Amino acid sequence: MILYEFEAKRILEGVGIPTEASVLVSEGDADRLRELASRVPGPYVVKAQLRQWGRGKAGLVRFADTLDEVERVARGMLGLEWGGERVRYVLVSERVRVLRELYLSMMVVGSPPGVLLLASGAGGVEVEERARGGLLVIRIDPFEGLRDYMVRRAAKHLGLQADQLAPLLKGMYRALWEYSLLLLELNPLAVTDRGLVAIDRKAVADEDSGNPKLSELLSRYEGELGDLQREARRWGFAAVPLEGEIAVVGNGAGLTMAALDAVADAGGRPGLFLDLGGGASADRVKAALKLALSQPRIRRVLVNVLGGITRCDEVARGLVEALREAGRPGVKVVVRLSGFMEEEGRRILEEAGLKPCGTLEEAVAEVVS
Amino acid sequence: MAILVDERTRVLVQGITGRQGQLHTEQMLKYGTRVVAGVSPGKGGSSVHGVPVYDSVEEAVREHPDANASIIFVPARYAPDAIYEAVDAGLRLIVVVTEGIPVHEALLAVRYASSRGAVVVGPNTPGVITPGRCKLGIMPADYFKPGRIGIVSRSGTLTYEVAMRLAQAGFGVSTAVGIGGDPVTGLSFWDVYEMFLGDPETDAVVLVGEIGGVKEEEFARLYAERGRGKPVVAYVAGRCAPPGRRMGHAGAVAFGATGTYEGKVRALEEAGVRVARRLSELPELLREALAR
Repeated sequence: MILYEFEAKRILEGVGIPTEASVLVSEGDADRLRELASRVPGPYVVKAQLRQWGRGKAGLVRFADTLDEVERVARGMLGLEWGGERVRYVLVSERVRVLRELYLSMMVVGSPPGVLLLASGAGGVEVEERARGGLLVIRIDPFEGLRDYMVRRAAKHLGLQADQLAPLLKGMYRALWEYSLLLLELNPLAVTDRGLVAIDRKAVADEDSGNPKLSELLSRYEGELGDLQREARRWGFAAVPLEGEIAVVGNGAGLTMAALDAVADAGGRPGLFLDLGGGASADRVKAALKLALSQPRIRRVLVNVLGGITRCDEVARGLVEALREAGRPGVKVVVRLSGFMEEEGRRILEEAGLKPCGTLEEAVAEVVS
Repeated sequence: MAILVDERTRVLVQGITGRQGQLHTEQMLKYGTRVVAGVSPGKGGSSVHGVPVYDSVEEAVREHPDANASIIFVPARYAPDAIYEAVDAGLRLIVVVTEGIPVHEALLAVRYASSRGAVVVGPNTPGVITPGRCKLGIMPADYFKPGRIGIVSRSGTLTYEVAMRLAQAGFGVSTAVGIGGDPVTGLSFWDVYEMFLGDPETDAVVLVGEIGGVKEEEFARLYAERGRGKPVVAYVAGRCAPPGRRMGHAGAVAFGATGTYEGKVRALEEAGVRVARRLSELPELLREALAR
């Protein structure tokens, strides 16, 4: 779960990391926008709150000198659709006078298991910019934790005093564990005449953590899910809506991504990624196909199931039932089914007027044709 | 030889009385895997498909001192405890099938295991198979034919798809290892590659990656630095996945510039690993890599 910037900001403030003065304005508060913004000293930065990267380049972070301007810019942002997401909040922040921009992040990694501390003398949107500042990577073993010598190394790299940087790094490391964060990024971290200020930030939390400190953030996140994702979660499917009209339904994340790539490669436009997980029982495959068919934008569906020990004949019956219950005229469904009782499964599909395919390539060619 | 598992592997199943545990114990037994004991707290004294069940790993190991590997089917909430229990009972190969374990808990459990010299495969893995000799996992065995190609993958069903394509092209598999789809796993691509490097029965390695995290990049860096003992060809899933969206696996999400398809392919190719743009290109790339 990618957190909103304002959520990350609150977490940072909770662990004592200095941030800029700001006020959050939600869609519902739009009529009180001016009053709210007046609590922050100008000049201002108005930032659309999105659960993704890249808003800066899209013009969704804007400077404003006056409250009039804040109002105009913020109103323009609220309710805007960008990258499949609606802008539900804007953050109106004081514009901090920046002497120098730095980059700091911590992320949980697997090999070897630990936390990576990344520091660069150049903040900025692009990796290339960060690389220009020289990227220092320090590996933190969870058994030893963040040590002072690491702080000294990072401080030296960034041209800071160790005691200036220590509270920030210690706060970040604490936040990472307390809030089950997979990633915490201060970009940029501003050097100002009143010290270090984290003026922009990103955080990703582990939504499987069961961490009670995340429950409020998780319920906000879940409240924003569309019907498609809500229904998908109920079944334990992973659904990602895309721009095109071809739904790609499969069992297993990697295989379904590969099928999605193959569809795009063949000139098709994927409109939905729907992974029903590793187990491909008949009722789950049926539910997944029905869900895909319920999306008005979807004109074609590719079902790619590698059955293994699942019986293909049962899966085929599930698919036929889903079509009978939720099929739409003009929507083409192509099925690639492999595994136990494959022949029987194909026969059932053929009898129902579906085109069974033996390979992914065949199925992709058929669905884009 | 092969790696991690072979005919000497003696398996203990943690969570053997659950639906998954029972089903896959049966499947493993059918394949010829020696499953010697099962564990399920409170169910000691019963049996599953003829395999005796114990209340704890410690008891199971005491009765079956030949047990040298564990496979865990315990629900996410209890799975970290199951890992610690297996490590403390002296087991040194632990396959964690469970999906959805809190990442920070997995981090500590996996770190603990490695401090005790135990290898954790997973979490969120289909397991390990050395075709014809031992299956320690949930993969459909039919897709895997014996041979001389090592597979290391973050995926489940995609691994089966790759193994099937290799078999159709005449390539069998020495051992296939699913390192797992979670952000933190016990084994890295490099760890497994190094094992293949020391295995005289493996000629080349197929690496199956996906977007998210830095595992492919890490492998590329080490492969470039430490020499290229055996050829590696790769496929990376998720080229057209939108950034910031979790594509099924907890680990399959690109955050900003981290974990993108382009970044991974670039890193691998710069390290001398040929990357198949399509799955269908894998056998040909493998043939070329072996001929060089």
